[in-house]
Amino acid sequence: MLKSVSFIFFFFTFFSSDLLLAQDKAGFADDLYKQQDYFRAISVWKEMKYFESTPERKSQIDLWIAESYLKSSKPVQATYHISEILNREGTTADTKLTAYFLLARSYQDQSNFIMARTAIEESREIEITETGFLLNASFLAEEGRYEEAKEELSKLRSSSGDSLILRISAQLFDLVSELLQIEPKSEVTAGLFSAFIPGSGQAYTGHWIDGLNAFGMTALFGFGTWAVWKAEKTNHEGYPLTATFSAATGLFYYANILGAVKTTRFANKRLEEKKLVPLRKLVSGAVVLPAL
Amino acid sequence: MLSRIFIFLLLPLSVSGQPITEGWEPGESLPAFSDSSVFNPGIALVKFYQAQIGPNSVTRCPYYTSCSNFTLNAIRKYGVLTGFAFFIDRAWYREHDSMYFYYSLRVRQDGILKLDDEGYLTY
Repeated sequence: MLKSVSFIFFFFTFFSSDLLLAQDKAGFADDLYKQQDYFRAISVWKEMKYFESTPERKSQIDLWIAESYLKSSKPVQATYHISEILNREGTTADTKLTAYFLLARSYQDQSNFIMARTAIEESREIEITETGFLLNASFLAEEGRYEEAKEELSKLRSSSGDSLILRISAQLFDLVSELLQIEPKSEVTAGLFSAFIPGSGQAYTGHWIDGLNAFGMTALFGFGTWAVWKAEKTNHEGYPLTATFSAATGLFYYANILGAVKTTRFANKRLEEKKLVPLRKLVSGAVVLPAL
Repeated sequence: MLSRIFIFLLLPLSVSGQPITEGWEPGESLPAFSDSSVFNPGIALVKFYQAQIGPNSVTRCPYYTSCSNFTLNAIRKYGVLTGFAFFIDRAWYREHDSMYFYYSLRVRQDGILKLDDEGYLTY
């Protein structure tokens, strides 16, 4: 009697976690996912997948794994799991459709918009959906083709019956309109400004202190070159210091023009990126995964 | 004398930092070049700084990719002259008390906050 009681006690103490039902595990993984503990959720889902026998269920688990990898900025790993779904016999068309949307998003994360659009085209062979249009519009926006994105979204807004898609497309439309209103500063103008007056290109972009630094340093080395040249002219012993100072002045002047162009490009990109981050978040909410 | 100075000033332009990645003929394989196989004075200078001066220095670069690594990348991408110009731009023009207005903060892997100018070279 004592032996059997102690056996049961030790068995439950050490193996109780392994006795969790599949449904409990799914709930546990879902909880971890909601707490943004993606890697632990992935490990639980991988365990569930290993013991799962039906291909459809395996594919559904793979969808959640891929989504978690996407959320943790690992699109390459997500692509691996999505390809498993697409190549698995016995997966339903609905699951494959969702897998294509996730594939498109993983390519979007890798800034490969041609492949992302190809994934959407592939999904249209299964079914033409509003989510596909929404994703396509977001890819166009990311590529800077705002007018085309707006056109795609306005089509969707007039035809959509799904309230979630309608809501997301309305928000996306507003974001794209804001992106259209951004007036980027010209890199050529910034470069030309800095070529005429050192530092003025940076000031034109709004980086006033950078501009003052650039002006000060170039002026300092320019003045140094003039002073050294004046001294060497009276000595009549060649101009080695003048050559060195003029080379340094040239380098600082070149850095000033280069800095103006790059600063303008960087500031423009950052301004655009500020709007694109919420756009990506919105689109990720449009792909609804099946509950496990 | 003036022409000599002019040639001296133009000399760094001849040093290209672009590595050759493709052969002349399609499918032709090339030997793998690394920093050590081709001597580049700019890269050697930065590596000397990283090995001998940087670890003993009390000042730290406020940006995420450290200033020396940024310069190394710039030299590899654009050559010695432009790479060094990028270094001047970052260390002398863009490093000041107001830089926190222009660049967002980023948490490094070891938990230290740095300014993020990632993409400055590639954009």
